[in-house]
Amino acid sequence: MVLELLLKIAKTHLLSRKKQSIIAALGVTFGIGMFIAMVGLMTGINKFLEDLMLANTAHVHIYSKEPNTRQSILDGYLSPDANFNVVTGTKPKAVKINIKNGTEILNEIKKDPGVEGASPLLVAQVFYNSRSTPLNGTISGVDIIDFDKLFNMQGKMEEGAIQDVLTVNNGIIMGKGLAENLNVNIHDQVNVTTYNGNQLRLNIIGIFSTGISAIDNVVSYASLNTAQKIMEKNEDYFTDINIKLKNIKDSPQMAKRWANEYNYKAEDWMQANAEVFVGFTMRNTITVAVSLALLIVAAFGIYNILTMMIYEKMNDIAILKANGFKGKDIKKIFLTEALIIGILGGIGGLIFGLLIAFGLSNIPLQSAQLKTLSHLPVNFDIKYYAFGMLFALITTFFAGWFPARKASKIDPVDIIRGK
Amino acid sequence: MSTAILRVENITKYFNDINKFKVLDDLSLEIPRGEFVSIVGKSGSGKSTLLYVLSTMDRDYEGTMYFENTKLTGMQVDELAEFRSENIGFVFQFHYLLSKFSVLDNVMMPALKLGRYSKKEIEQHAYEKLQLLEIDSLAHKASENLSGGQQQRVAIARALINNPKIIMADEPTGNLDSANASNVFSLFRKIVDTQKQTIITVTHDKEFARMSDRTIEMKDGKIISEQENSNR
Repeated sequence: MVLELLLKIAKTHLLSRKKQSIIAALGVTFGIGMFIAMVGLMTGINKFLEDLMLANTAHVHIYSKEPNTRQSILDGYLSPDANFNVVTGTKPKAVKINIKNGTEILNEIKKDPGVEGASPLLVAQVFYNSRSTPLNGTISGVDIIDFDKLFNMQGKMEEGAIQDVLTVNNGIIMGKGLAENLNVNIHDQVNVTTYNGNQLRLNIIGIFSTGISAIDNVVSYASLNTAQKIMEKNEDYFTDINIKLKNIKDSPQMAKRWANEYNYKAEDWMQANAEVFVGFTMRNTITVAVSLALLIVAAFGIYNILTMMIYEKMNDIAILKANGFKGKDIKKIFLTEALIIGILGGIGGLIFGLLIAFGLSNIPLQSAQLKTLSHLPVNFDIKYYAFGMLFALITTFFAGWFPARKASKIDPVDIIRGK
Repeated sequence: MSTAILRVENITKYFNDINKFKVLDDLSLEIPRGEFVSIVGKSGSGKSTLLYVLSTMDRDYEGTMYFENTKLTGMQVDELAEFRSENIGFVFQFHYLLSKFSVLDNVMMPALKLGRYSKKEIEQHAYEKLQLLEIDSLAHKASENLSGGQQQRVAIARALINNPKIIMADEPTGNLDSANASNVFSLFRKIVDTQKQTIITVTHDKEFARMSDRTIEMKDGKIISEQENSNR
C-alpha cells in the first residue's frame, strides 16, 4: 500500500512537469540510440571483415619455416666477439620449403576428430600469356573437395563446377578479374609460363569471384597434381596445409599443438590477420569511448533535471516527512522517477537506435575492392540492445540516486525554516 | 505518573546562522493531556522553534523530551518519522498540501503510509474528517484549486486522519482573514471538546489564543507567563 502510494506520488511528479520529464527521457533516448547505432555499425563492419577473412583464411595454416639468415663459416671458426670478421654477400642457404612427409601429416590431421577438413596447397608463380604483355599471377594447387569444405569454393563459382578440376586435364578455375583482364572465358584455353621457363596450356573450366580484387585479379585454382606438374615436382610436394576446425575457438591451441608435433610453423587465423584485429580493437575502443561519453552526458542531464525537480518539490518533501514518511520512502519516490525516465528513455533509445541502424544499413556502398559489400554492414544483434537498455537503467539509477539521497537527508525543519 | 502527554526539560537550542544565537533558553514545559494549548509571543521569541522541537522534526537541541513516559530525545530520524506517523498530526503555516493531488488523496496520504487500515477504511475515515471540517463536497477537487481557508481545513483534516494524540499547528491562521481564522479556532475547540485530542498551536494573535484552554507566553526563548483560560 505504501509502495502504491509512493508510485502514485512519483507518477504525479513526472506528469505535473511533462515537458521536463520528456526532455530528461530524450537525453537517455539520444544516448542509447546513438550507442546502439554506433555499436551496430562498428560490430557490423567487424563482423563483415571477420567473415570475409574467414572466407579466405584457414582456421589453422601450417607451412614450412623461412630459411634463417645463415651464419658465415668464418664466424663459426673465429668468434665474432673477439675478432673483426667481415663477410659480404652471403647467400641464404638453399632450403626446400615443402612439407616433408606432407601426405602423412595431412592424413593424420584429417583423422583428428576436431578437424572439419584439410587441404594441401602448392602455389605456383606464373605468367599468363594471353595478351601482348604477360600478366603476373599464381596458380594454387589444392585438394578441391577439402578446399571447398574450407572456403565454400562452390559458392564462389560464377560459372562451371569445381569437380571438373579433377577430371579435365590441366583444368583451372580462374578469378573473375583475371579472366576479364585476359579477355578469356570458361572453356577457353590460356598459355602460362612458369618461373623456370616452361610453357603450358591450361583449360579454364570455371570462373570464381570472392569479391576481393586482390584474389580475383591474381589467383587461379587447380588440382594439386596440375600445380605439381607446373612446378615440376613429385606427388608429395606441397608447401602449405590449410585446416578448417569444427570449433573455430580451438584454433590457437590446435595451431600450437601441431607446431610442436610436426615442427612446422602453424598459424591460427587471428595471428594471420593480426593487423585486421588491431583495427577491430581500435574501432571497438572508439565505439566504447564515444558511447560512454554520450551516456554520461545523458546521465548528467538526468542528474540535473532530477536535482531541479527535487528542489521544486521541497515543499512536498517537507510535507511527506512531517507526515511520517521516512528518508527511504523519499528516496524511493525519486529513484522511481529516475527509473521511469530511464525505462521510457531507454525504450525510446532502442527504437531510435534501431531506426538509425536501419537507415545506415540502407546506405549504398560502391567499393571496387569489396564487391560483395553493397551497403553499410550493420549488426542487429539483440545483445547490444539489451546492453543499451541495461546501461540506460544503470545510469539513470545513479543519476537519480545522488539527488534522491540528498532529498532523503533533508530535515523538514530546514525546509520550513528556509521559507 | 504525570498527566502530561508531552514534557520537555531544560531545553536549550542555538541557531548557528551567523552568530551563535540562543533561541530557547533552558526551557521546561508540560503539556497536559486533552488540552488546547496556545503558545504566543512576538516574532523571534522562539515559539515556532519550540513547536518544531515538540513535533520531533527538529532534533538539534539540548535537554530531554518525553512523550507520555517514552524518551524521545536521542531517537533516530526514521524512528521519529514512525512515531510522528502514529502520534502527531501537524498543520503548517505555509506548507499546506501536495498541490497536484486531490483533497481526498492529501487527507488519506498519512494513513496510507501508516498502513493501519485498508484503503477502503481509510477512504471512509477521510470522508468523516472532511465532513467534520465541512469540506466533504471538495473531496475530489485538486488541492491547488482551493482557497487558502479551504486548504487550511484540508491540512487540518489530514492532521486528524490517523487520530493522533497530539495535533500541532504553526500559525495556522497566519495568512487567513479573520473570519477564516476564527473558523479554524472554533474547529480546534470542537476537536478538543469532542475527540479529546491534545492541540498545541502557535499564534501571534492573543485574541484567538484566548479560545484555548491554556496560553503560554514566550519572550527571548523563555516562558514568561502561563495562564489558564476558562473555555470549558
